[in-house]
Amino acid sequence: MTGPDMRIGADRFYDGTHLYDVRLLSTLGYSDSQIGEVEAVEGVAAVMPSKSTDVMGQINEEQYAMRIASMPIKALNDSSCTDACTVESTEENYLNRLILERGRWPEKAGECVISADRVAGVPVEMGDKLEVLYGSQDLDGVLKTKLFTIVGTVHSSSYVSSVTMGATSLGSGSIQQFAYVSEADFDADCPYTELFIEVEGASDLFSGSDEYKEHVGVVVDRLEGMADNLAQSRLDDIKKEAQDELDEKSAEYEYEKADALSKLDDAKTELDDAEEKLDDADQQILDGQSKIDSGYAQLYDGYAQLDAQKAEAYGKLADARKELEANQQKIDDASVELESKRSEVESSKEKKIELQGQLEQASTGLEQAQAALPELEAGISQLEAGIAQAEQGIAELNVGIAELEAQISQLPEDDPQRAALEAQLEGLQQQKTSAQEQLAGLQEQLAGLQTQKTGLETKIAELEAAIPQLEDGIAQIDAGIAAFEEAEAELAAGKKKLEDGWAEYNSQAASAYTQIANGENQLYSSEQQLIASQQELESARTDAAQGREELEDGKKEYEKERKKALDELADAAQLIADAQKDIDDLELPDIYVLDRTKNYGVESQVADSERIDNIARVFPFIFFLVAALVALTTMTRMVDEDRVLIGTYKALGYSKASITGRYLIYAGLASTIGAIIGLAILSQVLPFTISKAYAIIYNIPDYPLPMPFDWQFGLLSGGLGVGITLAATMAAAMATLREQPAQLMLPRAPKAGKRILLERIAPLWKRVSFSWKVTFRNLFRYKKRMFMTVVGIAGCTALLLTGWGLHDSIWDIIDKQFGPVVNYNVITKMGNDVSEEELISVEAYMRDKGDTEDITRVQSSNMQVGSARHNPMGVEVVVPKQVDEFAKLLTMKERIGQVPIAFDDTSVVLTEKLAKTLEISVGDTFQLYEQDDIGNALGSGFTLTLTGIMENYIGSSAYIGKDAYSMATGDTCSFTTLYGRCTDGVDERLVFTEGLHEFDGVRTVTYNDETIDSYRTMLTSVDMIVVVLVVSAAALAFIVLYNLTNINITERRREIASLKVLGFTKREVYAYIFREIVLLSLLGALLGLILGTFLESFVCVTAEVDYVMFGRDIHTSSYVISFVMTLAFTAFVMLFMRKKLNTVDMVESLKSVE
Amino acid sequence: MAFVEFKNVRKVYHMGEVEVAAVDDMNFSFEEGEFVVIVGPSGAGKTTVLNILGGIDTATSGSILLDGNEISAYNEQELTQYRRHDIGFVFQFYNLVQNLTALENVELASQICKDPLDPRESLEAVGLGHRIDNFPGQLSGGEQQRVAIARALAKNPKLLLCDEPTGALDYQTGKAILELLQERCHETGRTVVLITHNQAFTAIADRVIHVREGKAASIETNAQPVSASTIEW
Repeated sequence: MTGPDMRIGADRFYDGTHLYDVRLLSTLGYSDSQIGEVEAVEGVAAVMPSKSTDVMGQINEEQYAMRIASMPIKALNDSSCTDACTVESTEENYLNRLILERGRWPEKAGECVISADRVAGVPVEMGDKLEVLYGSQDLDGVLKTKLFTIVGTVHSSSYVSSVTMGATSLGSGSIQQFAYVSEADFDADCPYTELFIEVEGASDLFSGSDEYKEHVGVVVDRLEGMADNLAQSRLDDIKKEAQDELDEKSAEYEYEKADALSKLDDAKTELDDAEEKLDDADQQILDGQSKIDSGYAQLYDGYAQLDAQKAEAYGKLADARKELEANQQKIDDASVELESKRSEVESSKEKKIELQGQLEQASTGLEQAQAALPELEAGISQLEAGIAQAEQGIAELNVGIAELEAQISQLPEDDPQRAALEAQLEGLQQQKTSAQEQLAGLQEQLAGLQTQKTGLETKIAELEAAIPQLEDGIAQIDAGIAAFEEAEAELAAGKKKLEDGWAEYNSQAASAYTQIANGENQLYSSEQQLIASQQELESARTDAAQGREELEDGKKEYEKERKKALDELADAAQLIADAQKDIDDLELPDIYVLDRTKNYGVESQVADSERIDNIARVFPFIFFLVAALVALTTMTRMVDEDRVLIGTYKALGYSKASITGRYLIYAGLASTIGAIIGLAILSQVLPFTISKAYAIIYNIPDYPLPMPFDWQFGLLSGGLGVGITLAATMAAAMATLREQPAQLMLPRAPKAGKRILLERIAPLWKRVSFSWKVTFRNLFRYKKRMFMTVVGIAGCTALLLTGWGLHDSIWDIIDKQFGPVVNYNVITKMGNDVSEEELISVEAYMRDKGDTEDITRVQSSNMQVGSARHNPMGVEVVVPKQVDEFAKLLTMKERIGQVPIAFDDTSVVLTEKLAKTLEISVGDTFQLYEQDDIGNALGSGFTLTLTGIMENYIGSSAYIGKDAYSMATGDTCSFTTLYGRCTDGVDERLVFTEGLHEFDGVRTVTYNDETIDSYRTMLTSVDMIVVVLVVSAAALAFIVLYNLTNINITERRREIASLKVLGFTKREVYAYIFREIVLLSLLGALLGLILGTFLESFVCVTAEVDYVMFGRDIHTSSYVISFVMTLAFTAFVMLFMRKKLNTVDMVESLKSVE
Repeated sequence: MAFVEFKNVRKVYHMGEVEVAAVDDMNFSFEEGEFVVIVGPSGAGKTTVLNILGGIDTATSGSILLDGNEISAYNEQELTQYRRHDIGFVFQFYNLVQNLTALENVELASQICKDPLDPRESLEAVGLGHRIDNFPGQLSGGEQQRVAIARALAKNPKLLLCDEPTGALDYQTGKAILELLQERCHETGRTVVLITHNQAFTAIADRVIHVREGKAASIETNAQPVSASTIEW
């Protein structure tokens, strides 16, 4: 019930904001008296006049095609917003009430509020400026203010679609932003352009419903009835007003003319006076110059004399200086020499002292030696005496010895005296030995003393020779020192003389310098005087030249002004004549009576909600089918489990009705509770989610929770769910009750095994393993379950595929449109009156600065096309100037087979969606209409024959060759729109755009890929549906698989237990049971892929918006993903169910028959 | 050492807070090739003994040995393999797979074990050679039980366990089944354990184990077992 909810929400919003029921538009506006007339029409509750105009505005560097409309400021400020979608106001004529989102209401002229919903690009802050660049019409006499301060943002029910706000001749052709301003911002002369009308009692009816349309239609008819009268009276008013104004203007013209001519004469006289004065000034300047020249000649003489004097004085000084410097050099040399000698003298003084020391030493040594000599000689003679004594002793001893020896030799050998004698002898010999030793010692001493004596004598001789030498040396040194001191005295005298010479030189030089400086100063001051006079003269000269120039300018100016004045006067005369003609030519204005269906936002919101209705018709079908199957299986099983109980009841005599009733009550209660919960949640969550998604497109305030509940629909869905469950229960109960009570008391005979068709193919069957045999037999044994599983899984896969496929289709729009089809991204529109030269230079600019060499020129206009089967609808008609150039920027090919379409000057190609909407194919004819400002087709149209249908995803376009176009319409084309390409960078683009706007003829520069972003936003909302689908699919898969597997396992507990007893491993048991489910899942998934393909294509076509064609292909990856996801869900359920299989207890299950 | 040995086996069930010992300190043993009848009144623990012996239930304590292997120590996987290769089960209610023919039911068992007998021959041996392609639903109770016996025997098990195999059958059919079991046992030398509440059956057994209140009350061997055809009840 999302669709109805969306419409309910919209109706609340429209009623709450008093959105107009009828809009009265006039090409010439309305006068005040006419407003009264309209108010008086029966059924009209309120009328709000408004002034509006379409302009190109700029906010924070970004340009928007926007509609500026006036609003009653007082009413705005007095209104109060009671909830998200209701505005209270005491002013009943305040319609299209705005809801303030941020900031405040405009309080005076120059302030505006803009849309809160369409603040694209750069964020807008309160206080930012809106600058009006230019309008779709001349803004003079329309808009007084060109610069507005944005004081607030608002929601407007007049513009609920964020995709487009309506058509305009500006920019890309659609309004991107609006601004509401004070009436004071419009020129007082600008008439009200439209009247918004509220129809009495219309708000009680549901907007868009037939009752509403009928009710409003009555008033529309009445208004249309008076439209002709309104037009005529308006024309009369305007003519009269204009004529009055024109008469006034022509009188003014005559007066102005006379005034201008007299002013010209005055100017001429003034110029002549000025010229005379200038001639005088020139003569004075010549005189002054000759005086200055003679002054300069004198000055140069003075300078020459001074230079000569200077040279002489400097020469003399230089000579004196040279001499002084030579003397100085000499002195310096002498003192250097003296200094070098000084050290020599010092060293000889030292040497003298040394020599004196040596002399002293030598004298002392001599004295000592002479003193020692006698002593030594005495020693020697003493020793000589000693020696003689010792020699005598020895000789005595020798005698004694000889005596003794003789005595001894006389004695016999054994004589006792002999021994005494021998001892005596020995003693004597010993004495002799020691005397000899003594002698030797004395002789040695003597030798030593004699050597000493000889040495001493030699020394004395030496010293006596040295002393006179030393005395000579000392005398020489004394002579050297005396000579040095004399030289020193001489040098000091020389230095003194030189210093005197320098002093004299310096005083001479100083006096010479002073004299020269004085001379120079005199000359310099006279030169300064001359320069000053020259400067004075030059400035006088410049003044004179300037004066002359000014005079010339003045003359030229005069001529120009004169010409201009004359031209202007002529122009004015022409203007007056033209204006008179215009007044005479004024035609009846067109008056349009438009109801809400002509409001793009209102109408497309209704269309979109109906689109959701369409989708809503399909999905519940799938879910109901599955719910029925689930209910049927579950209830059948429940009844089956109770068969013994049922048998007992029956045996006790309960009627069939009461037994069935018991189950019906159970099923009824369960399903009713389920339905209520389901409705309660889904009727809120689903519409809320989807509306949220659509809220990106439609700026209708959030519906407050709880969402309005459609009882009719709710009861229908709930009832259907409950009904299906009850029917399933009934069927199951009845089937059981047909049996006899006795039979019922017995356990139900297990369903007999049966041969299946497959077994007839013996060779194949033989190869099948037992588990597979069981699997196949089981599949056919439980047909209901098989059917249900396949349907459930198929539904799951189909939903997944639809989801992913939808995703593909949506994102393909952008991927396939920009690049494969459209190769340009910048569209430069120029005024229709632009010159060929200008076009060429703009083209050159785009080629130079843009991203591509390929620039193509086309005629692009908003027109309408219609066919025998479809009413005219707005399209962009593009006529290329050069088809080969054009082909580089737009690829034309058929979608199926990607066959290129030949396009030449006679071709007529429509975009695919457009051709489909018009229900025409190649070779058919269709009508091309011009349209008026508010989008009505004019005339009976021009017939064209379609030659090709091209793949295209965004927008509706007709591409017509220029010959075909001219032939059909009889018009010549003006190729003033240029397609090109520019890089993506924001800054580069800004520069590029600014560069283009430098050219006068450039009206708008738009980038078509910037619209991609807005498409993306819009498409993201549809992606939300993908999420819903995937979640639903998962839920569906789980419910179906879980339920079925559960039943399967429960019913086959004994079988499973038997297998376990036989020794089947866990894995083998899983395989045995799950094989069926896997097989069915595969089958279901495959079926689902087929089903999904159709479902997706249905949903795609249903969900498409008029100007967008979704991609028609589901990607292979989506097939794979859907398939794999389904199997993953299956695997997950099986994983979960393994536990249940494990809990099947052999002992319990086999004990007895249940 | 005996072929099968039960030593101090206990099996306790928890029923809420009450503990019930279905088998309480059970001790018995028998030899290979014997036809063993376990007899006792309802609730004496016969079936529990059989289930534990057959590996579809486990003892709480005590040990069970078969051919030297301690079954009571097996884990779940080993028990599965044990059932698969060593045990043949015949139940009171046949437990055939309804969706398979008689032959396929036998094949179902034979295909998973190591050294199976030919399924067709097994069926012929139980006298059903002419009905091998019939589904269980198309067979009488006795015939279904024959299929069950054929299925158990085709696995060539070490031990054939029969739980009241005649319980759901009429007198004549029951007797025929009993005869069949006895015949198959003697012909193949297979060890058969049969549980019953019917004292009459003890006559045909090589060994009779009387079970009472979870205990083996008495064990007697029958030197001269009679043919099943001769007994009456």
